[in-house]
Amino acid sequence: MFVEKGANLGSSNSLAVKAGKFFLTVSKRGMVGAAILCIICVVAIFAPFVAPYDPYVLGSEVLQPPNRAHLCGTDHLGRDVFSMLVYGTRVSLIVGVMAALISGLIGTIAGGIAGFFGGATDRAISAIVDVFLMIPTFFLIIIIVAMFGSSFVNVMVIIGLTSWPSNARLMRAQALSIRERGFVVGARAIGESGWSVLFRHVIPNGILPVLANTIMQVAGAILTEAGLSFLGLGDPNVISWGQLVQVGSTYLTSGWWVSTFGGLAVVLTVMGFYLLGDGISDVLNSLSSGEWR
Amino acid sequence: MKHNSNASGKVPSTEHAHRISTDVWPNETPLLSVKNLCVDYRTPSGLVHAVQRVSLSCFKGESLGLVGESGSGKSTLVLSVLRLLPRTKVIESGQAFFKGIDLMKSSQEEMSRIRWTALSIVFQQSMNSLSPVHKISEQIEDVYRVHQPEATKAEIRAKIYPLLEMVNLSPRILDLYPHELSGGMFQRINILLSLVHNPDLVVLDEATTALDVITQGQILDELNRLQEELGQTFIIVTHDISVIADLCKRIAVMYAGHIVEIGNVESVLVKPLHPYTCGLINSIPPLTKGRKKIVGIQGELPDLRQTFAGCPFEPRCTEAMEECKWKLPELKLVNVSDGELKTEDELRQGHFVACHKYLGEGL
Amino acid sequence: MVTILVVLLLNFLIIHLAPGDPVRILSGMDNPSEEVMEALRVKYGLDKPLSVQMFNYFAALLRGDLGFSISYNLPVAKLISEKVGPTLLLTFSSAVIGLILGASSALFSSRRRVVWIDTVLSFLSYVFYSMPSFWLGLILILVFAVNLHVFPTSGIVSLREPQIGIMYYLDVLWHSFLPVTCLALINFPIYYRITHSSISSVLHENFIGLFRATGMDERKIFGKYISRNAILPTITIFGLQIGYAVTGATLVETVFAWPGMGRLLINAVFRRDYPLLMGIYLIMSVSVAIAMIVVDVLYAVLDPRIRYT
Repeated sequence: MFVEKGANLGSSNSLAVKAGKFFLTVSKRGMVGAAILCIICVVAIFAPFVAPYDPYVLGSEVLQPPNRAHLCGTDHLGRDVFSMLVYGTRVSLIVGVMAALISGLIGTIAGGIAGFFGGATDRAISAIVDVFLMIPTFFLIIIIVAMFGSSFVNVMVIIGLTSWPSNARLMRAQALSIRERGFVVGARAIGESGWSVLFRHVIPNGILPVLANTIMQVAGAILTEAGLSFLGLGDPNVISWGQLVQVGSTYLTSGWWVSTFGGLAVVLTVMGFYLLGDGISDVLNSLSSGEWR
Repeated sequence: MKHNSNASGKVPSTEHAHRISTDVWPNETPLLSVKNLCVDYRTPSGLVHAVQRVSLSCFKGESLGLVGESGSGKSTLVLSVLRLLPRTKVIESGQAFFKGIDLMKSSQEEMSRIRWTALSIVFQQSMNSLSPVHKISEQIEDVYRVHQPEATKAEIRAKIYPLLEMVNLSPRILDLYPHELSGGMFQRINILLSLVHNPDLVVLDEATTALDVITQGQILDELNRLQEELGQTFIIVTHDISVIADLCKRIAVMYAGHIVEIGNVESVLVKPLHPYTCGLINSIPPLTKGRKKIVGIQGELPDLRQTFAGCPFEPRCTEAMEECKWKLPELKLVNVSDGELKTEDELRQGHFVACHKYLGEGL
Repeated sequence: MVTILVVLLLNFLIIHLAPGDPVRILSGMDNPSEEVMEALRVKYGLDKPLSVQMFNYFAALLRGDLGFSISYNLPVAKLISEKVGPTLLLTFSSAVIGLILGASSALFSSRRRVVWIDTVLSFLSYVFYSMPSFWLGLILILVFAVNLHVFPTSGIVSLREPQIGIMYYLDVLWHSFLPVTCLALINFPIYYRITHSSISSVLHENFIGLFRATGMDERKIFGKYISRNAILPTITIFGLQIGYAVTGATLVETVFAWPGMGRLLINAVFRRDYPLLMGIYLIMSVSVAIAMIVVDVLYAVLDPRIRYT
């Protein structure tokens, strides 16, 4: 689809620049995703400077439609919606990235151990993975959040703890094939310990597809968090986009802008992550198809 | 999916293309005559000169073997002649006359008419050469109906049964799925597929390479039988000389996109002239004579992105001369047999070599 | 099969894993008196050892007894049977529509190879893939129900003017239009993506090259060979989606006030109705497990390579 091939790399010195250029030329959609995410990250980091108002401050201009003073209008408490969107980037990014990180870490290690060492450990881990993959996770999350509380950290951790199996499966498949490769067998032969081989050779070489999957999980985590907030199971103390949509839904007819812009922010950010994740997959595919030396 | 099509499903035929599948070709003129064919691949790192000014001929009833190591350009050569290379990725020039028509100048439609009716190809066996979710019989019927859309199942079966017999396959195989076949059976089906419309020429592109020796032997026997009983002509592309020795009358040796030697099999294999050919033959362990020291050819293939002025084999050649570095040797007729050759017979029986060692000599 | 048992076991254990005394949780009160606690303990058999409890649990399951809902005051099984219908209506129809939309647009765009069609479809698929389902629901309600008055805003039937007979079914249909559209649009990119990538990989298979070399008509290659090969992963995903059908579309149901399993679940969560929660979760897990078995069978039917292993 958006994949572009056949460009000359030119002569750049640093590896990072070369890698960046390579990435850009291979996958157009990855590029678009990266661009979107850059903007979102900048907004998140510089939120106090980007947002025209303090989002927590209640104002007197209640339920104003979008106008010059308030780009996205105000909510029922007079808070500027645009500023809330800006600060919401922080929440979404943190929840998404942290949840995906937890999932990625646990999944990579579990999958790596299962695939590399095999045997009973593999069977045990694979059984757990199978059970998890069968359970409808969104509902598990709802139930657990309801039981343990809906704080920001809880949501993050619970999402992470319920999504690691897909990473584990991927990593396991990678480990299974990498452990037969020459350099791994060689490392074992010269006496390198199993754990060392796992972490220094097997995992780094198999990490790319897991990385792509993890990035998709960031997107999924953001969507899940939005869903939880919408259901009233999110952290009420932080401003999140899901919360915006939920709040706005109670007066949808009189203030459509609150929900609408809240959701749009989600769509844009999530799309950025999906594009980026697909971009990494594109890179993987073009590497394995051997078009580059 | 609704499609608007300009045809009812039949391939539009041109004058020439229609005649080509029905004309019987005489024995004296070459069935296939390639002249100065060049093929370059476009890659991110530049143009790769895979085939460089290749000329060769193949006569009816006399199979031609094309031998060379991986990367020599032999597959590219035949794929180009068959016009099966992706048009956006290659640059082709030269001529390839098949039964009087220059294939390099033919349109896609003309080629569709020619391919499979007069000229077909068998690829190297690989697991997905046939659709895994359809039965063998169905796929054979579909291929048959490309050129005979009105054929009934019974007609097709009648046509297929003798071919099945010739390649030692039981008719039961028709009801199977591809994954149920062994490698050898699978390849036999591929060969059968190439023969359904009685083509004049069949190209076998590394067709036995992926098979074990025993199966390979069996298939070679079957190919021999096809040659003798049906008068089938083959072009065999391989890196295994023994295959050619068995089946072919003529042999052409390719190196780095060039033809370096071409001649009758007895002539070339018994008295190889080009240093590369000698190296190839010396690297085959003999079956009958005593143990001999096996000598490989040192060095590796040149980078085909570069253009050389001289002979491409020069860096690896043990007999290289000063001239070889800067002058590309032309393919010239060398008189190795006793007696003169008639001019008409030159192309058919002459022994040609592209090497400065022999360029001083000649007719 | 083992996994199903594990899931059932897990279900049973959840109540004991939750923080707090299970009896207090079951009572639904903040500070129940000792008598209440004791009564509940006896009623739910929590005074007996764990193994006996587990036995009772499985025995009850076999009888079809899923417990008793504290908040609704009805047997769990009855509640679920009432709510499953609307959920299945929603999920099945949107899955089918999403499949048809997604798969056919991927096939169409691959066949036609017009760049802008492909770009537009890909863009749309990314947009809908990234969209929260509840947000789409809200937008649809806003545009079509509130502003254009074409469809009702919520519910499955018109409460003010109840219909009977065929009008009843039409009424349900009218009410289901927006929620089904919402879910179908959310599902569409899933099928589009999988079909698209599957077609891409089939196109690189050797037999496509062979058939093209024989001169086979491109339409036939596409219509018969590419389609049949490429559709396999799509059908697998469809099967899995159906498996999740009972789990429903909690978010969409909430937005449209659709009386299905999802809303039942949410209510159970908020009311801390643990017996009901466990019952719902059980049904959901079992249905997913069954769906996976069905998908395996389906795959064996469609792909001859799998049949003999």
